[in-house]
Amino acid sequence: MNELSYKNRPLLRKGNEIFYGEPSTGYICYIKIQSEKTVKSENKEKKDEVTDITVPETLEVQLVECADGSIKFTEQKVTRTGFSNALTTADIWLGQKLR
Amino acid sequence: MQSSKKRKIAVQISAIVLIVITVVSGVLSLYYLRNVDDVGRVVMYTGRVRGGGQLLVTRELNGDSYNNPDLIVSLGDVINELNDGGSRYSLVKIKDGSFRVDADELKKVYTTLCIVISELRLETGVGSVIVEDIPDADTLTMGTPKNKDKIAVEAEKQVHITELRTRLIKTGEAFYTAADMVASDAEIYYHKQAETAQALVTVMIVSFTAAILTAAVILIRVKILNVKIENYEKIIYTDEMTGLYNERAFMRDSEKLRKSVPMSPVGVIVFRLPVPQGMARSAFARKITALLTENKKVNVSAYRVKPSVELGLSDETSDSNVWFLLLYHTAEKDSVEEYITQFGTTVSARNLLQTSNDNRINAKIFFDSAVYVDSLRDNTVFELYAHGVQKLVDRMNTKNKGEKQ
Repeated sequence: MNELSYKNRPLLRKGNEIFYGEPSTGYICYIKIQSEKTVKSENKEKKDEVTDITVPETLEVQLVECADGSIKFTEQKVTRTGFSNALTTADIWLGQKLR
Repeated sequence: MQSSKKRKIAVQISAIVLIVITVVSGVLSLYYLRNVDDVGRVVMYTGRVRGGGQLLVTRELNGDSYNNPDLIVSLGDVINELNDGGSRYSLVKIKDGSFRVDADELKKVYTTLCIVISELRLETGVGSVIVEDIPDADTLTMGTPKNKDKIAVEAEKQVHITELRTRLIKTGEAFYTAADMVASDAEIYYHKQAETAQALVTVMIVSFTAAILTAAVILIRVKILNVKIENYEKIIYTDEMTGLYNERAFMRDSEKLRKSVPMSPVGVIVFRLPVPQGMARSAFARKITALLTENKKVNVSAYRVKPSVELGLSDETSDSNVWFLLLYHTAEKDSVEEYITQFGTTVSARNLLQTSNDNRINAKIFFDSAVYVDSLRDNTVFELYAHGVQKLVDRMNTKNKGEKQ
């Protein structure tokens, strides 16, 4: 299985929703893409070609508790600009919870 | 975020507002329904006053006044209660303007009616002369002079009685009209109250339904997210090729076992299966998975693992091998061994390894790369993962050598 992971935690995207973290640890992060933007990207093979790609712009990160088989959405929620910032926030939150 | 926060706050506020509207409209509708009941009594009693007045006047005109005392008292009481409210007939004081005016008028007319009745009774007495007994005017003039005075007095009395009776009829008619007006006012007020109560009940039903729908929307949203997270959990712990658990699930389960400190021994069996020639690796892996699932044993979980540095497994020819891992926690060691043996036999019986020369592959050959680790307790399972299976293989080999020596 070619599963995606970030900092040794699984990461899965489905549409505008991203799930990050391992449920068995008790917490995961639910990231929702609220808006996207189009950016110009150079083609790696043909550097003259510039293509438009859509990337997430604003993302809502929410901590979800998955303890004892039940799922509970916590009040810990924040909006970040850019996918990298959102993932970093989620990673920090999960790190804090699993410390 | 702002829009999401605003939306959440808006949903919460609307839920609170809907609940408040439901409660307030519920309480008010109860109040109005109770009021409708009270006003209904008033409407009924105004009708009784109308009928009672008619009976009273008829009896007075017919000379049956001896039947009337109770009626006069009860009519008076009812009219007083219509004006000021009271407990005897449980009539409420209606605050409607036109009702108040007309009820006051009715009271006045009734007082006048009582005065007329009193005058009439004073003039006639109980069971006295009635209209039919009034002497004819001609007869009165033909009487003797001695009697003429008496006759004249009597005639005057009869004239006065007639006038009083006429007044009684007219006052009675005024009373009926006033009673009708009061009844009409009460009826209009009753309809208003009933309409208000109906409107409030409608508001209550609508707001309650809206509140239920809002709650349902919130619950459904949470439920959908729960299902999505459950699916996510399933995906990240499942091996895509075989549908068995993956290394991550092994890590999760071994961690659980480590924390729970099971009383029975915990063991791990890792085995590498060479993919038969002429068979696709994935097809072979799925067939082995089917066998593992069919012969599933209690307290034994199967995983498909990939050789990795983290696992401590190096597999130079990864395309030609498939790795599996069994994690068990049972005291029945023989049972697990039997499971493996049975598994090997089943493979043979099902003729999966078609390219093999020996169709009856025994378990020993089948698991030539297997590692059998017994009685891993507490942190050992975790250590197994962390330090690599290879180390355990080495340890087991050393142990075996020692035993042989």
